[in-house]
Amino acid sequence: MTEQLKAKDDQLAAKDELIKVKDERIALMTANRVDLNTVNTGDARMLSACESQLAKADAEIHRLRYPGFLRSIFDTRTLTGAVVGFGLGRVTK
Amino acid sequence: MITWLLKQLDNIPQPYRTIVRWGALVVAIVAILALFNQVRACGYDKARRDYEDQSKAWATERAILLGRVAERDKQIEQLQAKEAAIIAADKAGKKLDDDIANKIDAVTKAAAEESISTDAPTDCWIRGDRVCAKLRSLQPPITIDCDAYKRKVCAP
Repeated sequence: MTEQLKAKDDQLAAKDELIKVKDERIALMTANRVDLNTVNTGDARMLSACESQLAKADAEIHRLRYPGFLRSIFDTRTLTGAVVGFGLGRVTK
Repeated sequence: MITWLLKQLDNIPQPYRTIVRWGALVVAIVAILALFNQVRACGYDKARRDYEDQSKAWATERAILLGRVAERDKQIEQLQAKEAAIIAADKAGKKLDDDIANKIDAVTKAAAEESISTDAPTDCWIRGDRVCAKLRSLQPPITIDCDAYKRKVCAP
């Protein structure tokens, strides 16, 4: 009888130990889930920031590629071309 | 200054005065447009720099978080191996005295190290197999019943 009780005590001690280990594991997994959720949220935030930056870059490229009528007339390259063209016209006249 | 310039302009004979006036107008328009362009470009550059700073800060924070997760994964592996050992000890009816507990700790630590060094996200059963195989190869003071352990840990 005493031996049976001792065996049961041992079994209970093992179960207690197992519960303790599982509790520890759960705590670690919970902490991991929190950190991974933070990573996922941050990734989503950065993805949206990246998309917004890409949109801005696209707008900048478009602005540089198509500067508009007024700006292309008064562009320094256009003016340089005009002056050079005028000068060459005078020389070859 | 402007009055002086206008006075100087009046001293220039025609038709050069008109040419100079038109030239000044063109230069003024070019300067205004260039300034406007510069302001817009500065706005874009600033936004870009802000984004890059934010991106770098997040990369650092992300690395720290993932490092912590990896560290905890290692501990989880260790606990998983410990669980296997406890279940086996319980099944064998062996009391976990200090000597056995120390041996189990050493064995589970080694098993976790081994498991983490080759780790990739894997299925629970495969991980269980790996843990058991490692435990068995390290010859712990108890017999590990792998199937029972995997059933217990991986059962849905």
